[in-house]
Amino acid sequence: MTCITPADRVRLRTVRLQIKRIREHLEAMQRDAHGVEYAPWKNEVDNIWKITFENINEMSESPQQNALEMIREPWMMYLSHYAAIGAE
Amino acid sequence: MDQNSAATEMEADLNQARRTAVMAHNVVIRLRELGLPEDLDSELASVSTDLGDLWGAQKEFTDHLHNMLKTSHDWDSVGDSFVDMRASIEHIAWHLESIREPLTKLAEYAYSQAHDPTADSPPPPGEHCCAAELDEVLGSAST
Repeated sequence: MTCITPADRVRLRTVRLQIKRIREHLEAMQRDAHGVEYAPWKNEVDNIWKITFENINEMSESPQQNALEMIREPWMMYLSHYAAIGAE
Repeated sequence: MDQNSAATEMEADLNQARRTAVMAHNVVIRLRELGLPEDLDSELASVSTDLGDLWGAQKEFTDHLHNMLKTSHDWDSVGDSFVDMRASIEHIAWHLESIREPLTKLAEYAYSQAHDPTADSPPPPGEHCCAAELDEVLGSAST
Protein backbone atom coordinates (compact mmCIF):
# COMPACT_ATOMS: atom_id res chain seq x y z
CA MET A 1 0.00 0.00 0.00
CA THR A 2 3.05 2.27 0.28
CA CYS A 3 3.35 3.19 -3.42
CA ILE A 4 -0.32 3.66 -4.22
CA THR A 5 -1.02 6.85 -6.19
CA PRO A 6 -3.49 9.48 -4.92
CA ALA A 7 -5.80 8.67 -7.85
CA ASP A 8 -5.81 4.98 -6.91
CA ARG A 9 -6.43 5.86 -3.25
CA VAL A 10 -9.55 7.72 -4.35
CA ARG A 11 -10.64 4.73 -6.45
CA LEU A 12 -9.90 2.19 -3.71
CA ARG A 13 -11.81 4.09 -1.03
CA THR A 14 -14.65 4.64 -3.50
CA VAL A 15 -14.85 0.90 -4.10
CA ARG A 16 -15.01 0.34 -0.31
CA LEU A 17 -17.85 2.84 -0.06
CA GLN A 18 -19.67 1.23 -2.98
CA ILE A 19 -19.47 -2.21 -1.34
CA LYS A 20 -20.83 -0.67 1.86
CA ARG A 21 -23.70 0.90 -0.10
CA ILE A 22 -24.44 -2.37 -1.85
CA ARG A 23 -24.70 -4.18 1.50
CA GLU A 24 -27.08 -1.51 2.76
CA HIS A 25 -29.24 -1.69 -0.36
CA LEU A 26 -29.39 -5.47 -0.15
CA GLU A 27 -30.82 -5.04 3.35
CA ALA A 28 -33.55 -2.83 1.88
CA MET A 29 -34.16 -5.33 -0.94
CA GLN A 30 -34.56 -8.19 1.51
CA ARG A 31 -37.12 -6.20 3.43
CA ASP A 32 -39.20 -5.49 0.33
CA ALA A 33 -38.62 -8.66 -1.66
CA HIS A 34 -42.27 -8.79 -2.74
CA GLY A 35 -42.99 -5.09 -2.90
CA VAL A 36 -42.89 -2.60 -5.77
CA GLU A 37 -39.67 -1.25 -4.28
CA TYR A 38 -37.67 -4.39 -5.08
CA ALA A 39 -36.99 -3.66 -8.77
CA PRO A 40 -35.68 -0.10 -8.27
CA TRP A 41 -33.44 -1.22 -5.39
CA LYS A 42 -32.02 -3.98 -7.57
CA ASN A 43 -31.58 -1.65 -10.53
CA GLU A 44 -29.55 0.67 -8.34
CA VAL A 45 -27.42 -2.13 -6.94
CA ASP A 46 -26.71 -3.39 -10.47
CA ASN A 47 -25.63 0.14 -11.40
CA ILE A 48 -23.34 0.41 -8.34
CA TRP A 49 -21.70 -2.89 -9.31
CA LYS A 50 -21.14 -1.55 -12.83
CA ILE A 51 -19.47 1.62 -11.51
CA THR A 52 -17.44 -0.44 -9.04
CA PHE A 53 -15.99 -2.57 -11.82
CA GLU A 54 -15.26 0.54 -13.89
CA ASN A 55 -13.35 1.96 -10.92
CA ILE A 56 -11.37 -1.24 -10.45
CA ASN A 57 -10.59 -1.40 -14.16
CA GLU A 58 -8.90 2.02 -13.98
CA MET A 59 -6.59 1.03 -11.09
CA SER A 60 -2.97 0.01 -11.40
CA GLU A 61 -2.09 -3.58 -10.61
CA SER A 62 -1.43 -3.57 -6.85
CA PRO A 63 -4.54 -1.68 -5.67
CA GLN A 64 -6.56 -3.54 -8.29
CA GLN A 65 -5.63 -6.84 -6.60
CA ASN A 66 -6.69 -5.38 -3.25
CA ALA A 67 -9.97 -4.18 -4.68
CA LEU A 68 -10.72 -7.50 -6.38
CA GLU A 69 -10.08 -9.32 -3.12
CA MET A 70 -12.36 -6.82 -1.34
CA ILE A 71 -15.29 -7.40 -3.67
CA ARG A 72 -14.88 -11.17 -4.10
CA GLU A 73 -17.17 -12.31 -1.29
CA PRO A 74 -19.99 -9.75 -1.79
CA TRP A 75 -19.89 -10.22 -5.58
CA MET A 76 -20.14 -14.03 -5.33
CA MET A 77 -22.95 -13.68 -2.81
CA TYR A 78 -24.77 -11.24 -5.06
CA LEU A 79 -24.42 -13.50 -8.10
CA SER A 80 -25.70 -16.52 -6.23
CA HIS A 81 -28.65 -14.80 -4.52
CA TYR A 82 -29.78 -11.98 -6.77
CA ALA A 83 -28.43 -12.14 -10.33
CA ALA A 84 -30.70 -15.03 -11.35
CA ILE A 85 -33.81 -13.30 -10.02
CA GLY A 86 -33.31 -10.38 -12.39
CA ALA A 87 -32.95 -12.74 -15.34
CA GLU A 88 -36.28 -14.46 -14.71
CA MET B 1 -4.96 4.49 8.83
CA ASP B 2 -4.70 0.89 9.98
CA GLN B 3 -6.79 -1.88 8.45
CA ASN B 4 -8.97 -2.41 11.53
CA SER B 5 -10.13 1.18 11.80
CA ALA B 6 -10.76 1.27 8.04
CA ALA B 7 -12.88 -1.87 8.30
CA THR B 8 -14.94 -0.53 11.21
CA GLU B 9 -15.50 2.79 9.52
CA MET B 10 -16.68 1.07 6.34
CA GLU B 11 -19.13 -1.32 7.96
CA ALA B 12 -22.56 -1.14 6.40
CA ASP B 13 -25.05 0.79 8.52
CA LEU B 14 -27.84 -1.77 8.41
CA ASN B 15 -30.00 0.16 10.86
CA GLN B 16 -29.95 3.19 8.59
CA ALA B 17 -30.61 0.89 5.62
CA ARG B 18 -33.74 -0.40 7.40
CA ARG B 19 -34.88 3.14 8.18
CA THR B 20 -34.43 4.06 4.51
CA ALA B 21 -36.51 1.04 3.49
CA VAL B 22 -39.22 1.98 6.00
CA MET B 23 -39.33 5.50 4.59
CA ALA B 24 -39.63 4.19 1.02
CA HIS B 25 -42.34 1.72 2.05
CA ASN B 26 -44.33 4.44 3.77
CA VAL B 27 -44.34 6.48 0.57
CA VAL B 28 -45.85 3.45 -1.18
CA ILE B 29 -48.44 2.93 1.55
CA ARG B 30 -49.46 6.58 1.67
CA LEU B 31 -49.95 6.84 -2.09
CA ARG B 32 -51.89 3.57 -2.14
CA GLU B 33 -54.10 4.96 0.64
CA LEU B 34 -54.69 8.01 -1.50
CA GLY B 35 -55.88 5.76 -4.31
CA LEU B 36 -53.01 6.04 -6.77
CA PRO B 37 -54.00 3.83 -9.73
CA GLU B 38 -51.99 0.72 -10.55
CA ASP B 39 -50.97 2.04 -13.96
CA LEU B 40 -48.67 4.42 -12.05
CA ASP B 41 -47.01 1.54 -10.15
CA SER B 42 -43.74 1.91 -12.02
CA GLU B 43 -43.54 5.62 -11.13
CA LEU B 44 -44.54 4.82 -7.55
CA ALA B 45 -41.80 2.19 -7.26
CA SER B 46 -39.14 4.56 -8.50
CA VAL B 47 -40.27 7.61 -6.52
CA SER B 48 -40.63 5.69 -3.24
CA THR B 49 -37.10 4.25 -3.34
CA ASP B 50 -35.58 7.49 -4.65
CA LEU B 51 -37.20 9.52 -1.88
CA GLY B 52 -36.22 6.99 0.78
CA ASP B 53 -32.64 6.90 -0.41
CA LEU B 54 -32.38 10.68 -0.83
CA TRP B 55 -33.63 11.05 2.73
CA GLY B 56 -30.90 8.68 3.95
CA ALA B 57 -28.22 10.13 1.66
CA GLN B 58 -28.62 13.70 2.85
CA LYS B 59 -28.04 12.51 6.42
CA GLU B 60 -24.97 10.58 5.32
CA PHE B 61 -23.60 13.62 3.46
CA THR B 62 -24.12 15.81 6.52
CA ASP B 63 -22.20 13.30 8.66
CA HIS B 64 -19.27 13.33 6.21
CA LEU B 65 -19.19 17.12 6.17
CA HIS B 66 -19.20 17.21 9.97
CA ASN B 67 -16.40 14.64 10.05
CA MET B 68 -14.27 16.80 7.79
CA LEU B 69 -14.89 19.92 9.83
CA LYS B 70 -14.71 18.43 13.32
CA THR B 71 -12.52 15.35 13.31
CA SER B 72 -10.07 15.50 10.41
CA HIS B 73 -6.62 15.98 11.91
CA ASP B 74 -4.32 15.35 8.93
CA TRP B 75 -4.35 15.29 5.15
CA ASP B 76 -5.13 11.56 5.10
CA SER B 77 -8.38 12.06 6.96
CA VAL B 78 -9.23 15.16 4.91
CA GLY B 79 -8.76 13.07 1.76
CA ASP B 80 -10.98 10.33 3.22
CA SER B 81 -13.70 12.87 4.02
CA PHE B 82 -13.57 14.30 0.50
CA VAL B 83 -13.88 10.85 -1.09
CA ASP B 84 -16.77 10.03 1.26
CA MET B 85 -18.53 13.28 0.33
CA ARG B 86 -17.90 12.64 -3.37
CA ALA B 87 -19.48 9.18 -3.08
CA SER B 88 -22.51 10.64 -1.29
CA ILE B 89 -22.89 13.36 -3.91
CA GLU B 90 -22.71 10.81 -6.75
CA HIS B 91 -25.32 8.70 -4.97
CA ILE B 92 -27.60 11.71 -4.60
CA ALA B 93 -27.01 12.69 -8.25
CA TRP B 94 -28.07 9.21 -9.41
CA HIS B 95 -31.36 9.57 -7.55
CA LEU B 96 -31.92 13.12 -8.76
CA GLU B 97 -31.73 11.87 -12.33
CA SER B 98 -33.89 8.84 -11.57
CA ILE B 99 -36.66 10.69 -9.74
CA ARG B 100 -37.21 13.69 -12.02
CA GLU B 101 -39.60 12.15 -14.56
CA PRO B 102 -41.70 9.86 -12.33
CA LEU B 103 -42.07 12.57 -9.69
CA THR B 104 -43.37 14.95 -12.37
CA LYS B 105 -45.92 12.33 -13.48
CA LEU B 106 -47.12 11.78 -9.91
CA ALA B 107 -47.37 15.53 -9.33
CA GLU B 108 -49.47 15.89 -12.49
CA TYR B 109 -51.71 13.04 -11.36
CA ALA B 110 -52.13 14.65 -7.93
CA TYR B 111 -53.16 17.97 -9.48
CA SER B 112 -55.54 16.21 -11.87
CA GLN B 113 -57.28 14.64 -8.86
CA ALA B 114 -57.31 17.92 -6.95
CA HIS B 115 -59.33 19.44 -9.77
CA ASP B 116 -61.67 16.44 -10.21
CA PRO B 117 -64.93 17.07 -8.30
CA THR B 118 -65.77 13.34 -8.43
CA ALA B 119 -62.51 12.27 -6.78
CA ASP B 120 -62.72 11.01 -3.17
CA SER B 121 -61.25 13.08 -0.36
CA PRO B 122 -57.91 11.61 0.71
CA PRO B 123 -57.85 9.72 4.02
CA PRO B 124 -55.86 11.32 6.85
CA PRO B 125 -52.23 10.22 7.04
CA GLY B 126 -50.67 8.15 9.80
CA GLU B 127 -53.30 5.48 10.47
CA HIS B 128 -51.95 2.56 8.46
CA CYS B 129 -50.15 -0.54 9.71
CA CYS B 130 -46.63 0.94 9.37
CA ALA B 131 -47.39 4.32 10.94
CA ALA B 132 -45.72 3.46 14.25
CA GLU B 133 -42.61 2.29 12.45
CA LEU B 134 -42.52 5.56 10.51
CA ASP B 135 -42.86 7.59 13.71
CA GLU B 136 -39.89 5.67 15.12
CA VAL B 137 -37.80 6.42 12.02
CA LEU B 138 -38.70 10.10 12.04
CA GLY B 139 -38.01 10.26 15.77
CA SER B 140 -34.56 8.75 15.37
CA ALA B 141 -33.79 11.14 12.50
CA SER B 142 -34.58 14.23 14.54
CA THR B 143 -32.40 13.27 17.51
